[in-house]
Amino acid sequence: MKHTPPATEPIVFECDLPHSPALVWRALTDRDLLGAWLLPNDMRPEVGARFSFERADQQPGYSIDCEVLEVEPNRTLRWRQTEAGDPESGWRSVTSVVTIELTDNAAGGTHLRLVHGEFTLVSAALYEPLTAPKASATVIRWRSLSSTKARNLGDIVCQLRRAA
Amino acid sequence: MLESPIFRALADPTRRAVFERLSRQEMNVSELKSGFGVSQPAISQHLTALKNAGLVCERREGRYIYYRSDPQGLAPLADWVQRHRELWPERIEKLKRVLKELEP
Repeated sequence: MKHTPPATEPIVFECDLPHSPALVWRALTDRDLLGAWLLPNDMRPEVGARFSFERADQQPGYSIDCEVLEVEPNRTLRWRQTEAGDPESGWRSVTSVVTIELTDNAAGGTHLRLVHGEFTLVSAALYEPLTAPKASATVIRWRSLSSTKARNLGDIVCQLRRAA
Repeated sequence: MLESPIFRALADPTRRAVFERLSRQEMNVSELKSGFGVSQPAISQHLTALKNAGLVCERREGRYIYYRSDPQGLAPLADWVQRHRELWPERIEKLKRVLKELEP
């Protein structure tokens, strides 16, 4: 029996900008500038720094919790983010990793490559004990084996983790 | 309210393998058990966890219950990813406007 998988491949977006990598870097790491194009935040471009994106378009207090994973000034910024999922669908939260890489392009500007992937869903079942009294937790994590299109569930690496 | 669960996750290769086998073929518990060095109750517990997560569904036939991976279980993730797939180009357009204003 064959099943069709959903699109869980990483999102890849690339574009060229007529500005220097240093200027683009400022727009990625300066709170106010980042807030002007992405979301209000308290970003600090330091590895291990925790920050949040505030989502005013959602309910008050709704935020996306982030942790900076990699900082190479004018080159690479990577963070992990966790946001609430849709409780009605049974998923409590979604964790993912955003990587933005800047390189010089031939035109004297910047090539921007954004990869948003490593999607991790945390099931509502995480919060409910499977067998009382010792609750176990299930975290489902998967990523595509390659960037080519995954055609069946077997192509998706699914790591089921149990948290004590 | 947003919850930020902190996990101390331990990889569970057996549960992963159960899910992967069921994504290829429908099986009952004893068919599943062969090939794994674990007891039937352990397999059943993995199946319960997978069912609670919406990743596996079951079908009863006579005295057997057959299990298979439920592709719908992964649908919420696909929806979420799709939303972001559409959002990023819009955000980058805004970034371009911010950069234009910065340029001296």
